[in-house]
Amino acid sequence: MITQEPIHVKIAEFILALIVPKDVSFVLDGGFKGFLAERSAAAEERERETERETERSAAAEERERVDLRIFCHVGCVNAPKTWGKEIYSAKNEEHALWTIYEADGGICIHVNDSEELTRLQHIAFYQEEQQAWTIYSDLNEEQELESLRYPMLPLILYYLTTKTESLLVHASGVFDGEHGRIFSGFSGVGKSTMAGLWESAGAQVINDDRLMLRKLDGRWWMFNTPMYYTDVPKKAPLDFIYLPFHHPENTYERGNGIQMSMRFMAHCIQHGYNEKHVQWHLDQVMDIAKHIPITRLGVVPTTEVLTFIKEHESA
Amino acid sequence: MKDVIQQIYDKKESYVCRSTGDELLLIPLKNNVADFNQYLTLNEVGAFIWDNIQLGDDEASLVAKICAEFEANEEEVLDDLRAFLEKLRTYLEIQ
Repeated sequence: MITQEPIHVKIAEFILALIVPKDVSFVLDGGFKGFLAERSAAAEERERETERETERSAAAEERERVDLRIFCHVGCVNAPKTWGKEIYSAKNEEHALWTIYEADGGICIHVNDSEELTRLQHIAFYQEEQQAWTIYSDLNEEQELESLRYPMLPLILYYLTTKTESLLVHASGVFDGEHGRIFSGFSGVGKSTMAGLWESAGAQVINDDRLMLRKLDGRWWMFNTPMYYTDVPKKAPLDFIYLPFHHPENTYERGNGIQMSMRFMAHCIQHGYNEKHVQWHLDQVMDIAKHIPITRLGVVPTTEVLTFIKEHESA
Repeated sequence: MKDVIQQIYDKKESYVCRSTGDELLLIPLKNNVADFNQYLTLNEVGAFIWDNIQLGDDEASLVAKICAEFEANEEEVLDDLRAFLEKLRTYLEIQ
């Protein structure tokens, strides 16, 4: 049995409609709290009563525009055994966090518990044309259904980026009220440090580790996505991209388009090889590089680097 | 030389290719993931050669096409082509 009213989650202005069973407790962890676009049933009812047909609220319009439907079911054992050969496995030594299989009209992903890799957590089918996921999940320790439990949501977001003008990237992002800047790189290059320095100077930190970039109305924006901690949705324009690295002095190097695009692309999240997806993501990066300067930034992690950056941006 | 061309042809499944204007980007696949740190950019002539290798051309055919396309001398083209294929073979890690 499923509910008639889906739960709506809004991430990077994508609307995800979760269709969940009625007869089980369904949970999203605390990281989703600010991203829920659904109100209580009573609030819905009140709204329906007061809504005139010609004056629908923005929220009601939003509900009509669903980007992705996610059908949630209980029990991996109930998943139809319709997957085919293995395509890719995200292995951590001998155990996989997830494994992708061929499936009719899309793919099937077997997702293991990130804290106990030998335990299957979800079997998820993605139908690309329908933009729909069907996820079978085992109940958690509290006998609750947690269909988007890590790493299911990042996988879903990743596949959204293979169909839309968007990218997931390892980066911190800040907005100082005038410009949005991201600092992209792998662990240890100073993403969080840079975010912290900007925050101490009064800027808003969009996120200090992972961002979704999305092109809307002809320009690129950065968004945060649900993490393991509670946060509210944040959005800022994307004006500058930096690839920081530790260095004895602050340095600023703008290279040619392809060189910097590839360096930036190396920090974009990809889940296994699919030529169509790689080509699509390359198109997005090339478009970004056409509009937004990408700079290698040697960094001494003090507040002086902020002035250094601003001076070079305006030079 | 024909073997080198065949070896390069055989490697095509290990690379993602993308045109960027006149240039061609080759991005290697490692452990089933595209490695953007090891990309190679081919200029207009390199891209022309790569494309025609993918069509199945041999050395003689490549030389003839390059001469026609770029109005070049056959002898110079042959030397340059061989040098380019050797570099490409090294990059593609063909033993």
